[in-house]
Amino acid sequence: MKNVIEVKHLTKSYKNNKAVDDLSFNVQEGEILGLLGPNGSGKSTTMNCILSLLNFQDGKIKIFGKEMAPDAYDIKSKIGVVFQDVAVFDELTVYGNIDYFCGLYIDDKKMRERYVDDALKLVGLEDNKSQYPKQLSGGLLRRLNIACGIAHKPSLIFLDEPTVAVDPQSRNNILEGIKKLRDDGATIVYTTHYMEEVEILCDRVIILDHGKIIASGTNDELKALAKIEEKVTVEVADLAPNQLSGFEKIKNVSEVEYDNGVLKISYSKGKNNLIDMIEYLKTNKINYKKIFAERPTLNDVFLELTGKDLRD
Amino acid sequence: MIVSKAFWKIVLKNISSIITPTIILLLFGAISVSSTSSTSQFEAAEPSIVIFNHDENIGLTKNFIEYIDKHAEIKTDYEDDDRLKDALFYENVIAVVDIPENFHSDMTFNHNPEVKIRSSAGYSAELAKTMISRYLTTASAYAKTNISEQELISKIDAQMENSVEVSIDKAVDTSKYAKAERYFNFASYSILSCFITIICLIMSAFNRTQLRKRNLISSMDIKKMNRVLLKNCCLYSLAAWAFYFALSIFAIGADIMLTQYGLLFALNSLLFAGCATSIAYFISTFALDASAVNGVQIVIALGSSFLCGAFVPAQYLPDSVLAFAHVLPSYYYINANSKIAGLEAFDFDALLPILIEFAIVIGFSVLFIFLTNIVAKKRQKIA
Amino acid sequence: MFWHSYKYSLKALLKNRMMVFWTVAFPFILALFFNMAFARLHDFDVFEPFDIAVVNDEEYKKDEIFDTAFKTLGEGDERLFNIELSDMEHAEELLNDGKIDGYVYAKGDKKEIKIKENGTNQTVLKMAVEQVSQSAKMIDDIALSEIAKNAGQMVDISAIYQNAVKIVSETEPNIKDESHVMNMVSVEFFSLIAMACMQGAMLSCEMMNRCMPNITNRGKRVAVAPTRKGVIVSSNLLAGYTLLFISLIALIFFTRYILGVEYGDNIPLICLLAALGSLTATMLGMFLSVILKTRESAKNVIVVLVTMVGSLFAGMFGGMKLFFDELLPFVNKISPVGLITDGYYSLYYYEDLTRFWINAGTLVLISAILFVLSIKSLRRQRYDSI
Repeated sequence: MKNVIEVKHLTKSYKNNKAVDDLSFNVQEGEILGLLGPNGSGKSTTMNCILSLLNFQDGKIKIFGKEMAPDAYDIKSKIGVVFQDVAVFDELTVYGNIDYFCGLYIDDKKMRERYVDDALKLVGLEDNKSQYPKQLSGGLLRRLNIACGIAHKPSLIFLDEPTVAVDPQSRNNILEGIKKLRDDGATIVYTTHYMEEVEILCDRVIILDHGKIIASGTNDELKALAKIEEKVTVEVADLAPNQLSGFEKIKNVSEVEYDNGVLKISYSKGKNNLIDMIEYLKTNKINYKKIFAERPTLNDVFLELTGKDLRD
Repeated sequence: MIVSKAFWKIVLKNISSIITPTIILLLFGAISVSSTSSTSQFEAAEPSIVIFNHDENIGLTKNFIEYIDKHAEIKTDYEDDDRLKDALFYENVIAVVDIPENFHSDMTFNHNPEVKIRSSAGYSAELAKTMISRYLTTASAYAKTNISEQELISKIDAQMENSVEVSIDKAVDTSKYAKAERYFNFASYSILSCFITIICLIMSAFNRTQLRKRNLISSMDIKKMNRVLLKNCCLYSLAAWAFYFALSIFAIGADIMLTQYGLLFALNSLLFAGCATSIAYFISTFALDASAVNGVQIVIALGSSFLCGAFVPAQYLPDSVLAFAHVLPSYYYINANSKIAGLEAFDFDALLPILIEFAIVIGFSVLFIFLTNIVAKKRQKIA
Repeated sequence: MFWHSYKYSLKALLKNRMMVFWTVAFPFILALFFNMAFARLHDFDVFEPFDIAVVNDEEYKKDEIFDTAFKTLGEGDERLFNIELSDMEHAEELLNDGKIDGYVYAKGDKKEIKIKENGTNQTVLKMAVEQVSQSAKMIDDIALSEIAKNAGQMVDISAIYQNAVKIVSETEPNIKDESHVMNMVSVEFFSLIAMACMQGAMLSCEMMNRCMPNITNRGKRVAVAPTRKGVIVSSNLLAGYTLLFISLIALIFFTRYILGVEYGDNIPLICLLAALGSLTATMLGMFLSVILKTRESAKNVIVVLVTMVGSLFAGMFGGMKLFFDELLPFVNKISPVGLITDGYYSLYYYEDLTRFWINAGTLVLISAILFVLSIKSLRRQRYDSI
């Protein structure tokens, strides 16, 4: 696998606050890399440094094997960026906006026409082509924002939280679109604080906190970091203290929590622990309403590593 | 009261849009009080004349200069250069007179020497030229009768003394209220522009669709809410008016403002402020955004002021413009100002024309309140 | 690339209602208002006859020379006033009702005037009465001295009088009027043009903001595109400049050909000044956008300050230019509004072009300074924070 982006020892601080702290990572060709972290963890700053928008104190950044610089136009021409905030002209139509930004990359008019149409199709705005941004709903506006960033068919795409405050329908459309871009051969850096999106979308994830990488790897690799492998939740109305202690003796159980009629049992190993559990409930004649098992999430990983929730 | 509190917070947020017209008013007030040059084109004051005398200052020449000095203000601090040209253009100097060499002897011996005059445009210049040509005509007419320079001078003097007695029939000197008139005429611009800007911005802040929905579903009675808003608009207007009045005492002087005349000016401006409030409130029902408010404000405030003679006295406006101005409340306000400034007695007969203007301004206020109600009713649903 | 960016910048600019209002529509509206307000002042040479009364009693009728001469002033197309003959009571009534500006009556062998207030018409009336009664007196005086000279001899009194009338009526003062009469109202429009021009700084400020990644999100998007910053910046500024320059030229031609404002005949230089003024405004807007790290509204306040205070000093509100020139002489020498106003004024009023070129040169100099001050910031590619 070729490295599309190489970041080495990137450090960027605002006054006394280190926003990015000695960060090093690579992005490989054809993958979707998720940059996951809570708000203020340095995701956007990292991205802006890679794009040469921001000064940084230390570090080296290479894209396509060449050093990135503000005037490295050959590199820039292959990059597409979708910023967190919507950046379009209110005075231009949907089509005009995409055409304008695409035109900054592509001179040929015919080719541009095709590209703009493709972008419209990708984000599903074909019917809104002649509308103005003010006439679009929040979700559609986000889609336009994306179309403006990727219309020139870049081979490396940065997306900075493109789904913030977007309705489910638009979100699905956006995520589908991103997958399609990857399938067409683009490398994608995806910044978000929604772990669900990362789990669905990303081939590899880097988890950031306070400007540092606290973990990286594929979804499964990361989840392995969590000490638990499965969680079973049982709703039990009534539970005697001796019954509770009995749970801890079940195979692989690492932790038992009972609170307000909800019993949470964590397993350190194994996958099919649910059957054992139901067996146990039956033999002890414990009445339960609902029972379900789940695999750990990235949130559990984050919780494990930092002691706090992602969403905070 | 929570609505009032929000109201005044928004006023403070928008204070900068009040400051600009107020500063302009202050500047204008200060200038109109301290300088007379800005209005000299409307009044026939003594013209300023610059003389370049190429002759000796004796005999007839001296007499000629003395004559000009008597009827005009001779300015001596000018060279024959661009500064003088500019002064002529801007009517700071009305005319420049070049007295040729040997003027006194040439005149005496009936050689009729040529006097060069450069003047600015307008009435004052024409009058100055008439004044000078009168002397020269008299001099050359007598020169034809072959008399000595001394005789010539005494003949001219005798003729020139022959001035016409002018009596001004006026009970009181009302000219000192001209400054107040100018100030309050100009204030019509500041009042309109501040009131429309602030009231529209505030009301549109309250009426913005999202907020309006929130207000409508809140437990507060919408009518009560509107009443509170209106009350606060009036309070704001009253405060702004009081400020302008206080400013007028400062700019024009308490000796004029704190008299019956001054109080009439104040009353007139208060009525106009009320009318401006109702206009602003009416416009605000259309819920315009900030940039549109600015545009509307400019067109209405500047338009009314120009068309009704707030900047340039009404008598200098074309009749067609004045005819159109009759549909604008500013016209009656400015009319009332001019009538107050010219008021000679404080009896009913003298005050009646002013009271009529007052009534018309009040009528406009009522009309706009009425229109506001009609429009507001149509807009009660959010649609 | 340049034209692509230019085309869209201009398109977006034209769609921006607020920008178009302030830079294009507002000066036109103001010009119309000015025209209405100054219409009368504008045609100052159209003298309108005013109404007076003459108390036509026995005493008045005695002075025949005066009577005939005075009445001619009230006749014909070029008359000074409309004369109504009446008795004293009626004249007084007319004056009190404001129907006449004043009335003339005889008191002994002198004429007197009664008016209600001082004004131009009243002064004209006074001058006319003085002139006529003085001429009458002069005829008398010259004739009497002639008779006195020939004391003791037989003289033809009527011939002497005729000769005296001839002397007085045929004497013309030898005045050479070298007035370069110009219309002062034009300056109001010159300063209006200047104000409209500098208002354009708002345009270029906005255009510039669109290119700056540390100000707008669109700027960020432009910054990551493989287009040279210079190309983007210059195409945006040129779009703003185009709109400003075209609207200025339109405004000049509108005021000149529709409203009849006098500019003089040097059309190329009139357009050149508009071009240079637009350049200064564009550079000022760029400077404000690049250098000032304040909020958008604060930048607009500065533009308003430069334009409105500049216009006040340049004489837009009632020709107070000289007043300010004497008070704070340097302001109009460096204020772009003052320079543009004075440039048009010197084109119109002066035959010599030195003053015009000084104004034009100063505008170029100011533009250059603003450009140099901005360039360092402009060349910066990366930012400490965005």
